[in-house]
Amino acid sequence: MNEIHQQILSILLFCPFVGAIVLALMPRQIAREFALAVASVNFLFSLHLWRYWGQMSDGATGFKFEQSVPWLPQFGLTYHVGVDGLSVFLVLLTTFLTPLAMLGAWNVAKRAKEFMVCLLLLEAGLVGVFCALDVLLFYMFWEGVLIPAFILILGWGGAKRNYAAIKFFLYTLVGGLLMWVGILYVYLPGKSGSFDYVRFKEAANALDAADPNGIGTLLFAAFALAFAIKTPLFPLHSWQPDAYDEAPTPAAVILAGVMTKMGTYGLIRFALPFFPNAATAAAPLFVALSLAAIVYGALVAIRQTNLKRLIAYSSLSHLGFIVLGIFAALLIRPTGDVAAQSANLAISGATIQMVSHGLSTAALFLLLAFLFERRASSEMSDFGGLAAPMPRYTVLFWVALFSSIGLPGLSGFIGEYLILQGSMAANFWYALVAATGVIWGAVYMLRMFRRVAFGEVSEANRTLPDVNTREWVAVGLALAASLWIGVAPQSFLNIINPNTNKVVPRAAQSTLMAPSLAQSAMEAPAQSTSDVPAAH
Amino acid sequence: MTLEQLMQSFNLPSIAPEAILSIAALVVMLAGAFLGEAAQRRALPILALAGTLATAVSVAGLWNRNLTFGAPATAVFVADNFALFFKWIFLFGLAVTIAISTRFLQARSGDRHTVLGEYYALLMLSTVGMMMVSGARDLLVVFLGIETLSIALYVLAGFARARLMSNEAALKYFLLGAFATGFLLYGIALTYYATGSTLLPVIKENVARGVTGDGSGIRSLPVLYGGVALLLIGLGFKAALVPFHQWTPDVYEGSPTPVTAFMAVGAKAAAFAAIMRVFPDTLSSPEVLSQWFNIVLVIAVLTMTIGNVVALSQDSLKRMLAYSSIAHAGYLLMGVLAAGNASRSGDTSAISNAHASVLMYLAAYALMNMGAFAVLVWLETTRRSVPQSTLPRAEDAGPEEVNTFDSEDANLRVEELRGLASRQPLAAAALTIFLFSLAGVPPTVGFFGKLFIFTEAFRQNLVGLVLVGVLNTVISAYYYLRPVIEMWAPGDSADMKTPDATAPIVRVNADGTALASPAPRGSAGALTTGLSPAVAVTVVLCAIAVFGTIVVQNTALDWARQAAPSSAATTALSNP
Repeated sequence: MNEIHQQILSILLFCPFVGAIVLALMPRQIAREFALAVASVNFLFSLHLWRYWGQMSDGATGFKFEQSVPWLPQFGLTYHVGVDGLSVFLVLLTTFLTPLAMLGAWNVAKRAKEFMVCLLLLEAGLVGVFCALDVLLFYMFWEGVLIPAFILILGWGGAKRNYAAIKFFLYTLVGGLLMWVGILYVYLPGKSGSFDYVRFKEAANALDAADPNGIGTLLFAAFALAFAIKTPLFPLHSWQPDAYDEAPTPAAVILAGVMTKMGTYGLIRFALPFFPNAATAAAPLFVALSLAAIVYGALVAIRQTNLKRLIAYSSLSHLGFIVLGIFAALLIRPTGDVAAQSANLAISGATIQMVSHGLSTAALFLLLAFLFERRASSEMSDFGGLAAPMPRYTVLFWVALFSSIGLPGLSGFIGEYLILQGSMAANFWYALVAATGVIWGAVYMLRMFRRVAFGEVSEANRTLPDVNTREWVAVGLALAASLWIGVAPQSFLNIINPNTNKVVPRAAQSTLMAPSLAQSAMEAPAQSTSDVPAAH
Repeated sequence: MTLEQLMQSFNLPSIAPEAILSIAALVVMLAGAFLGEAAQRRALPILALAGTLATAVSVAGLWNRNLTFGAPATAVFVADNFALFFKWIFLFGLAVTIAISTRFLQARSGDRHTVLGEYYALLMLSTVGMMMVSGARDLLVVFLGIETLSIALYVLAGFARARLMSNEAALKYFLLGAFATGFLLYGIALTYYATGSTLLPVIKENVARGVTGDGSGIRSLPVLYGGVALLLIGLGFKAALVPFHQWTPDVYEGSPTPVTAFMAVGAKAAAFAAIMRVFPDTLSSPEVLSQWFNIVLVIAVLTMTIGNVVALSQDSLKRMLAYSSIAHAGYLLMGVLAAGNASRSGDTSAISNAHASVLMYLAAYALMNMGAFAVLVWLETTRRSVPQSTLPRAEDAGPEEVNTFDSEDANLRVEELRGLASRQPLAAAALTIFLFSLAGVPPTVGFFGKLFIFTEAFRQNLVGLVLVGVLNTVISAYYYLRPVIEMWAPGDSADMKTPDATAPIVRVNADGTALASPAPRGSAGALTTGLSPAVAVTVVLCAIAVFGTIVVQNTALDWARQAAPSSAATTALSNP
């Protein structure tokens, strides 16, 4: 069993990769079925993480299911993978959404085989991103996932796909390369001499502590810029609406559902723990930008006439929430346990919101994919009154919408609530401005719903078939997961919470467990006193 | 003197690879003279590959033995690991070139009676020249090697005799090359005057002594600097560094594509072998080093930037790859500069790392560039001739280039790749991989090459240069992506009807020749000979290697580091 524990992450990584290669050599007729089988089996494998989570103790580095194999020992590069509470749900999200995206792409008209190959490669790369514990390995996955994503947009995208794809690629590449320079700087001898997470972090912390305003800030900027572009954070978001709009809708499920989380995950795994002082200094800027993203994204979303672009801008707004939670946690003054609890709360909220947004966006994009399949359009003006011909579709749409808005009982509520509570501890006004984003969210979502579901049924829409079983299953699963998080958040928070003080090290100074607002409200973080990262 | 004594005193095994390859070249040439044409087509490539393989085996046998040709103190030629690592690269380039030449020559030369024996023999002799350069421990041997490789290449560039562009390429290359040779030779002469020797270790010692009155050190500093500048021009021409790169696009575009691939990899690597030996390894005294260092720094920035920026506007795939190869020479110069800084500091492990980074980059470059050109050969041999009128003309193609042969041979344009992923998925996937690798996207071998070289430059405090390199990587991504965009874009309606759904990618006929999937816009009377299986196999192997080698990077990096310090060549050897 121990061996499986060690290798499970590699299995999750290589199963879709090998599957993609085999698929490429297979005849076309059974391509979809094979790809779906590979992705589903991979999801079942990934449940191993969930099943045995409680039985595993953290390794010396604070991660579970670790595997470390020297790759380029002369160069300090290790194949080192592992997960903790911050990343495990993103791995699960990836393995969960990939088969759903395949179901959504079931009827992709042309070159279905290549499409599925790209999706499987994307899955492998994303699993790699979320479990790499070697900074260079992480960077390789980070850039590597661009290739299948780029080809997905190009090969199956809309009319302006070339523009969208190259914009998407170059934006990410610029950020990634600057991060690479930052990585090399920390790596160079006298500093880390290794890319392994723990040693790299020590070196980065030392640089940050020595000169937080000079080199520390530059390095933090190099990392944070890459992540902010990927998230995307206002005002670096201009690639995003184009990419989502032009991407084939089933691929947008993964692009919006999982790939955007690469940026926010990078912040909590790398940028903040590496350069805590510089990050704290820059936190007001990031909070301001995330508040701007929340409001701006929501306001622009209200004006959209294209459904995909609307979801893109709503993503901008929702991801602003996540970034707000992450950076607000830094701004909570370290004056005791309540502050530490609140900081951890904000991080927990951001983590759960990543998963939650992944699920609700995926559901929405799947629903748009079904519409696109029927009408070859994502323009709001082409629809209306769908409640009559497609009642089941309308129900699914309704639930997905509320999950996205953050209705209590669905996952969006948990994340946004924790983030708001955490940022309230930092500054009342942060929470107030952010809360308006929730209101705006209701405005644009309900407006969209009214336009799509109610009103006159046009001739073209009168005979649209309702969702079939396949579609029902795909969206239903995503929404069920969202409901599960919403109803029973504690089982998720129990896994996330012990790791939140990895992100905001100052919060870890808390040694006493005081009853707090946080606990009474959410029964949230049972904070362990063992200070995991500081132990090394 | 018996043979055994001769072997003893000259240490003949040290030149075994060159000797074996020369003999193999002669055998191939003779076989070409006596065999009929059909037999030639079958036998000669196999003979040539066998010779290459035998040479590779002899190179492997010499590894770690650090033999010198003659007495260690005065030997003009060494077989140290540095030279041997380069020989691997040359032999890889040679083998791939042989493999992708088979059908191409017949198809595109416009000449049915190409003399195959000569072709393969010239390729092999040119490789002998490259191998001489890599082992040179004397400026005159550098010169001899460069001339050997160049003269063969002049002929090869014009090998498609019936094509005007090929003739133009040969003439241009020859005239400019001869001119550059003059610079090189004059540089050697001036250096000889200034330091009293052409032997690199002696030059190094004398340069290190500085200007002395008694003639034991530098005789005249201005003359030395003049000589170094001329050496830089001569070698820079061969390596296609800006501003000595003007010949490159025309020659690369006009030459038969396999020859272009051979030139872009082999000749460039040989020039870098000489640059490494002469500049960071020999001219390493702080005073002299600071003189050439800044000039090479400027050249590196110019080479990267101009190569990449001009490549942005190219429509011809081959010309784009030509400019991209110029840009890659700029990245390589970063490694040369890192080695220079390292040898200034005298830190042996830093010197070794910097050398290793150049070697690793060259190996990666050879792999992905050969692969890209192999795909180009694939596409050219399977392309049916397209009526000239349907193709947009290149702006740089003047009216004088329009003639019967050229109209069949117009170079592949980027737009022609549209929908390739539907028509020939294997070729499209392979080209995509090579282009991503050239752009340095992980996890390809090109990424690792850049990683090593940027790291070493960073380690040697060339931070500004690294940033320029990073910016250039972004620029280069744009033009490497253009063909990818065309390939993966859904083709026009005609393409969509191509029933590619279940058809095998390559159909193999009874006689063993393979036919590619039909090109969509075929026209009657097209000259097409079909895809050679050797090309397809080469492409697939290279594509696998671009990913596969990252698993064995470990070993390769060890080899490169063993190859690197190379004190054997640059300091007077202490006898074992």
